[in-house]
Amino acid sequence: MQAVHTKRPGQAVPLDSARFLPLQRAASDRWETLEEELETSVEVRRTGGFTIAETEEQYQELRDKHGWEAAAGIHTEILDGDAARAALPLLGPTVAAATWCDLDGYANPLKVTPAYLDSATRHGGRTVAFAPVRRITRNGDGWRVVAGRGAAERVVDTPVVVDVAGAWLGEIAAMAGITLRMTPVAIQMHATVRSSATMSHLVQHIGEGLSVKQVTAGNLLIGGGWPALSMDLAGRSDASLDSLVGNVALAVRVLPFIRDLRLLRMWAGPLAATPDEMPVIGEVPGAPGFYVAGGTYAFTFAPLWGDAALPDRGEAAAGRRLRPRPRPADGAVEPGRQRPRTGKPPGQKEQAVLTSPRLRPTSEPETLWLTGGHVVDVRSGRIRRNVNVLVAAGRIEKITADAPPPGARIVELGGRYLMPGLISVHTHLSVLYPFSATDESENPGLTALRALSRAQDALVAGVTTIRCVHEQNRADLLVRTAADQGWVAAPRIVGAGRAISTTGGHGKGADCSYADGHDGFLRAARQELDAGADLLKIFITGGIAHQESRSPARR
Amino acid sequence: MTAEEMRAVVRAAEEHGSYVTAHAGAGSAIREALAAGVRGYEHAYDLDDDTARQMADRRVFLTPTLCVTRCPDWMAEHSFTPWQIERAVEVGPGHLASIRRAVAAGIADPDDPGAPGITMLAGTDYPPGEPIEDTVVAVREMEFLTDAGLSPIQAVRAAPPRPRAWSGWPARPVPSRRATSPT
Repeated sequence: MQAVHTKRPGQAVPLDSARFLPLQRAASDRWETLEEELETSVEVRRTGGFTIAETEEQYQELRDKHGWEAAAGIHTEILDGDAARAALPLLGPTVAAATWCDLDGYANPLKVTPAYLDSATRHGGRTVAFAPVRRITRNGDGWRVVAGRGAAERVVDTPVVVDVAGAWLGEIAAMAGITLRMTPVAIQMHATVRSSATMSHLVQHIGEGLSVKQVTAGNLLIGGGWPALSMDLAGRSDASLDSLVGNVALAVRVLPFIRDLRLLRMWAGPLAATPDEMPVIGEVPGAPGFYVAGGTYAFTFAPLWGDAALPDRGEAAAGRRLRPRPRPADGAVEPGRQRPRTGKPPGQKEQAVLTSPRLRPTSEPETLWLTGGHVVDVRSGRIRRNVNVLVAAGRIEKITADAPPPGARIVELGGRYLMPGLISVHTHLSVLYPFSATDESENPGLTALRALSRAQDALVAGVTTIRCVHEQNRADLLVRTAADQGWVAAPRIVGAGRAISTTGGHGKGADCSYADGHDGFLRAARQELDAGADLLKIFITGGIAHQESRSPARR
Repeated sequence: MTAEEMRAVVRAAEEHGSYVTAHAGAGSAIREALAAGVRGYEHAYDLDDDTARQMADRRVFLTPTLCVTRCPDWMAEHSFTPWQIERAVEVGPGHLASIRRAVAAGIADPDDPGAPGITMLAGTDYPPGEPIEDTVVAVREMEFLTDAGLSPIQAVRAAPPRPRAWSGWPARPVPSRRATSPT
């Protein structure tokens, strides 16, 4: 919904606005229906925005862009400096002209990404965290993707790979022997404290790197594509003081009230970019089944790029193709609006996203109606009373007052409450009571079976996610792997493997990993992570269940 | 554990895009761990107001595991020693008061990562599917959290509000180590 920066500071090639604007129109339309499709609010605010000019030359650029916008069906209005200040009194005296676009707006990225992930899950997708893709090789007509290491390793055989790795798009493609001319850059953002003044509209600059918006809480976000000090694709990119000064000075010139606001934080992050500032989308020529989607302006345009990357879906929404794409040989399945991808006719292939675990074929879709219950909406805190819930292939399809169709499989809830699975974020599946019964040399198979028994108790009690924060013989990781491979049923497990303790410290006798000193702890921590731990657990004080920890100071 | 040892573990976790959680009783060690970048805290038997406030400023995750100091019958049925049971019950009132101080320091708003607040989480320590009284441990812990001042819906959300589809757990608490309380 946001206009794009026609010129980032340091940008070699200006954006071809005339060519890009129809895509902006299409992207804007996609955001219009996105919340409905994602079934949640992502705080889309379409409050309109100004693109300002400070010089005669920039004013001319505004007029040119206004013409292209009209041609693309984007309504904008040109205002001179005084009219712009009358419309938005926060604008400073250097503003010579502005265009107003009532389609401009923004969404909350902290909500958008989780909403997409949740939606993917509802549609039958699975996501594996902390399993970086390490290898992509040809496998017959399809691809084999290896991700993660050690116990967490996943091997996915799939007809289709979709590379949407953002700034890492080129790196991932290179694993499959594909060279993409990507030129990722790191840029930075700045956030101020909350302002008592309200600026309801987006403000951008036609000729310099500047975008300013105010979030709901009142903080102002200042950006404009200013370069970071360094880009580290494997870690944290560093923000640049020069860019901070340049960007904020420009913001203060255009919006003088910002002068009084303290800067709260700044951060830098990598951005996918291409030499010509245009996105790279579609099936890679010469690499059937390997799709890429990404490049510049990936947040505003992501929904559109997603449509355009894959066959069938994109054309209606995008209005055009970026370039011709052949259909994949054997029908990759559409993402998005389609319902769970199960129970397809025999022979039809499954589509995988990069991070899918091993695919498990499923039988015919099972639908089930849960009738006459009260549904607890945990997010809103509201309870929807006396409703019927349709479950298809293990996912809630709809919550409705409508009665089930004749012949449907029904479970009558009889006024019971329906809520999401419970979670315990601190548990031990392998623990023995009393603690003194623990045998540190126990066979890991026995530990894992005991842990599995506890995990299954939890599952039938309604606990669908657990975080294990120390298990003998890393039993959590063993159970997690066995469940991922489809051998056993268990809650989702987020595991720390073994806790790391000091020699003789809390956890003594419980098969912790024992270490001492910086290097000792670094090694012990890396060992747990290498074994597939999702997090690390340490003891920084003693416990209360051991007689040797006496004084309150050691609690 | 020394501060240097904590930093080593945090460094390893960050190398893998992950985080560290610490079994922690009282204030001074927690303040040291906050400085080292530890994002999660377990138990917190004896927090003072100042430490609770610092935890809110850093937007840490806190898992009180209140059940470990208020289930003497369950402990007796599971072969805990009389000393352990007596000790747990003795710590109990202080533990609850400690968690009330954490709640008073502010509950994190997931929609406003700039504002201070602690993300309260439901953790059982005991296996969560174990029967206890008329329910299971996972539910009993949420009831205990309401005793510490969470509303029932907050207690349900303590298991956590938006489980990320990719891990069932918000693996990377925000914001960064440089976080300070906004004005």
